[in-house]
Amino acid sequence: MLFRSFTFSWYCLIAIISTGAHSAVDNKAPVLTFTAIPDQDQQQLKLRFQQVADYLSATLQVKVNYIPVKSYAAAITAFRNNQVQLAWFGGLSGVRARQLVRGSQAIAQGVEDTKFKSYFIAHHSVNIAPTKDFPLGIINKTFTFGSKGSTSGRLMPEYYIRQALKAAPKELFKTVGFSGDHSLTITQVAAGAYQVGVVNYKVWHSMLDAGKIDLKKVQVIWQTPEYTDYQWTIRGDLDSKFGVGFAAKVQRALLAIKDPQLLKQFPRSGFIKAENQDYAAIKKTAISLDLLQP
Amino acid sequence: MRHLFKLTDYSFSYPDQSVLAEVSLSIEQGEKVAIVGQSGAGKSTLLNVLYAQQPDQSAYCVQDRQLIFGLSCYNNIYLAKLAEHTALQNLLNLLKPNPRALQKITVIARQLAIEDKLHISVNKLSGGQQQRVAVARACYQQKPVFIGDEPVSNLDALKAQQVLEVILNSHQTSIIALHDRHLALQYFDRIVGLKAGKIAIDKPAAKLCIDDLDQLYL
Amino acid sequence: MLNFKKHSRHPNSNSHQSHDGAFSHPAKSVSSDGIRLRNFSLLILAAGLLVSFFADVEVHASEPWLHLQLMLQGLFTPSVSNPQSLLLDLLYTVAVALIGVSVSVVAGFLLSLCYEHYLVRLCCAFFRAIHELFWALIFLQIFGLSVTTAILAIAIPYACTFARVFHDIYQQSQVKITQLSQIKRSKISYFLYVQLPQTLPKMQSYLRYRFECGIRTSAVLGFVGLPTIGFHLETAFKQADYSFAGALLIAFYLLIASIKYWLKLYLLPLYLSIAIYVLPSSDFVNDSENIYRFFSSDIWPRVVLGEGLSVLSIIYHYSQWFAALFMSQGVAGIFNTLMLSMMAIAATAVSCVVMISIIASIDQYWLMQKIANSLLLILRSTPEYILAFVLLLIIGPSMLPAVVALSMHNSALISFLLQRNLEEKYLRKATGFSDYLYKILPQIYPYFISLLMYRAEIILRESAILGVLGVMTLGFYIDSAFEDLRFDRAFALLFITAVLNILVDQFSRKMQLNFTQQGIRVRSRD
Repeated sequence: MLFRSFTFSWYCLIAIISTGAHSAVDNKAPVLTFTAIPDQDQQQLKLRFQQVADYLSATLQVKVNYIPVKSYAAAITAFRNNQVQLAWFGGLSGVRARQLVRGSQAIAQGVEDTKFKSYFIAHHSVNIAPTKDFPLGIINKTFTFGSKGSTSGRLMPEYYIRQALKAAPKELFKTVGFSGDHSLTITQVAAGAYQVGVVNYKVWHSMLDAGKIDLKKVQVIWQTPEYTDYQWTIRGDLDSKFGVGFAAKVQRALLAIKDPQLLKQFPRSGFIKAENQDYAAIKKTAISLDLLQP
Repeated sequence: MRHLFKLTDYSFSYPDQSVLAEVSLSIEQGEKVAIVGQSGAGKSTLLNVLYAQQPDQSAYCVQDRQLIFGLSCYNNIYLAKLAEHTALQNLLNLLKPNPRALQKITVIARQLAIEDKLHISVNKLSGGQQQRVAVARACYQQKPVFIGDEPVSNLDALKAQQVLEVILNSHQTSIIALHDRHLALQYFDRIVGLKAGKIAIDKPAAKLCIDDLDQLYL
Repeated sequence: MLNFKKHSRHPNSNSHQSHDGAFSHPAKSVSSDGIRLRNFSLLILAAGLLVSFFADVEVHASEPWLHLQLMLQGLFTPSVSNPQSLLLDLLYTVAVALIGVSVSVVAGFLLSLCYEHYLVRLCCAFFRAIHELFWALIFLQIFGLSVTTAILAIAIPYACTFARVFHDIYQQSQVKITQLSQIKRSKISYFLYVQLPQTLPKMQSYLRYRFECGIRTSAVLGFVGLPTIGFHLETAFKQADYSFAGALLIAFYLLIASIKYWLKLYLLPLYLSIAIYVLPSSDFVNDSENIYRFFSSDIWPRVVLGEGLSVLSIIYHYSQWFAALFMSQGVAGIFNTLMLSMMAIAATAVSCVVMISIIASIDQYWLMQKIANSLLLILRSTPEYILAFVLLLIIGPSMLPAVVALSMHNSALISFLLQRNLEEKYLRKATGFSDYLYKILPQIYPYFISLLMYRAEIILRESAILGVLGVMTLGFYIDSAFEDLRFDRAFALLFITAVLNILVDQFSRKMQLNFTQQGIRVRSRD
């Protein structure tokens, strides 16, 4: 009995391997796949980008897929390896991706992305009042960034910290953590796990509107100067696969998003043209902080 | 004539304990020697030393049997001739017994009354059956000399006699350590008695009686 | 709590001697082994305590209760909006683990045959030192987010572990054929007929245990985006959807608990065929171009990639670059990693002794025993990342939550293995605490120490994934390098980690040799 089931299971294995060998044929209709950096709530992202996929699919007349990833680096890697051809990047991740993929272009950004900013937030127990100038009270507190590769949760805040205090965060704070994303930063500062943190202002406002923030526990103490952030970036080799002028078609489609329901998901008031040069400042900052090779 | 085994004033000791002291012994071809003595008298050490003198001529059946528990009896016996086959033959034999080896081993196993157990894993056997597998392994080597360290100690009287007969008949020379003085007197030509690492008795069996041997155990 | 270790004795120090044939020497006095083991344990504890004075183990006042309440609520009201997808996740998790472990056991077996060779040993030690998550990040560059990445990330480090453990098991095979001196000349035959049959049951039991590890690893791989249950678990925790997280965790615990009922080795081929059938044949990026690019340029710093550099100047530039990296990240990383590991090992040791004593003392109460077993299962199956996340909320960022998370996970695992060891040996169960002190503890103590030292290697690696706590271990820097797409740095830091791992392993072996006569036979039975 035992022996028989043993042989039987071996037969199954042999059968499956031999059939699997020639099943690797699939239809070759081109599919446009895109991803986005996981900067907040995954559920939110899925909701948002499924709508984008549906919209693009209808407008461009090709199948459009969204694949979720777990980290900023994974989004860049997928873009680099041509697993995705289009991506919603942050400022830093976009610069990194375009450096790795020759010919790739920033094609669109949110209206607000030209004047983006980060909020420094603090737990109520540290008693730091909101200020216009850099809040010196955060020195020697425990501090958390968002993701290591985030523009609004890492790059720009670190830049402003260094500019104001002339020292690396590691030397200024008791502990420096990386919460992983903006929603987590808010959760952890609200729980007092970290005393101070820094977040993307858009995420702060959407969580505030959703009633997920208790202002008695955590509040904004400072906002950074403005900088350029998120953008859609597309690979340069799309025309051969989808036909001449496809990248331009994608750009037009993105700029034409007017559905308030969809825009609210981002949340952006609309999309405007972008180009690689818009991110030169981000690139320079990243290089100065050793987060990018020249 | 050259002696098959010869020891002259041989001593052996561990750092803190003497095992054999000034042992002189020679054994000729064709002799059937029983070695008797208390536990710890140095029997096993003596056998080891003798085996080391003629490793190619002798089949050595050690006391702890050295059976491999994951293997069937057949393969445990086959193990004796591992070096005579190529690795590939040995591998195939694990999958399906080599018919020539199986035939020879079956003959030996029949004599030792373990023929029906050949394809059973050795750990499923009783102590006595395992002991006969170990004897079968030594016999299968088909060497002229058999050296055995208590090869029948776990068998009942009748079985012990049968097995001893098989061993003695299939080997020209036999050197066997035993506890059973009656068996020693009955089946062997010569008896060597050890006491505290020294040879206390070395006489033809015909000239000894049970009382002489009992002296060794006092 | 410490003085009872005096009674421990090395139970096996004599037994293996009798099998070596009559030529072996009788054991010398072994009476001091217990004392030596005690001294060794005290040293581990003292080192941990000493380090904790210098390390940042502060508790930061916080208000976690609101959030913890949410978590507990979620755990007790598990809910799944889409049970089908949950089942699919579990299926993928198991399928990846099954294939990964099966591939690795074959490779590991082959490697174990030539493990004597120092190059093989070195390579295995090197590859083992790299955490599965980092393997996944490496293969992500080559194969993208695909099942291949997940399988390779399990298969490579596991194969190296199998190689080592199988090799150790062969060494333990008790019967050595002394009567047939000539058969040792034919190595393959000797292995087939003498070593393998004796050790096969042990190898099988280890393989079964390793499948459980594989499923846990497979789940954790979801954290980097591979399609296993960890993917949704991380998401659920991140977005505070604790009901879903609770459901996922409970499903995962049930899966782990059920392994012993369905995982029969003779059905393995059947399971494998199902696994191959269900896994999505996602369009992975297996361009040879990617592989070439990764090895020829990605992992090397810019300074050595210039055209027309001579070999000498490449070496010069690389070593200069490496030294700079070592000073800026390596030193701090090594320092923090070692501190964290020493504290975690000491904490693991203490909580293990407590756990196993509780388990042994409540042995006769069926219900309590079941509860204890379930607790062990929950503790060892909960990914450290999740433990660290919860602990961070309670005690704030420092090394403390890292130490607690690591020691909880590892002590539950060691206790589980010890308990299994007790059952295998059919040891008479203790009927109370004193019984435990005199009958159980002495028998398992050497095995406990060897497990602890083996886990030290793992703790060293696992400290990698705790970057969320702001503890700058080597793993933190490696993770940063991957996140910054600086594979040159990641590669160099992984190299440093591997070398550190090998050195620590060597050192701990030496230490143990000093503390026991024959060395506590370090057996990597894990």
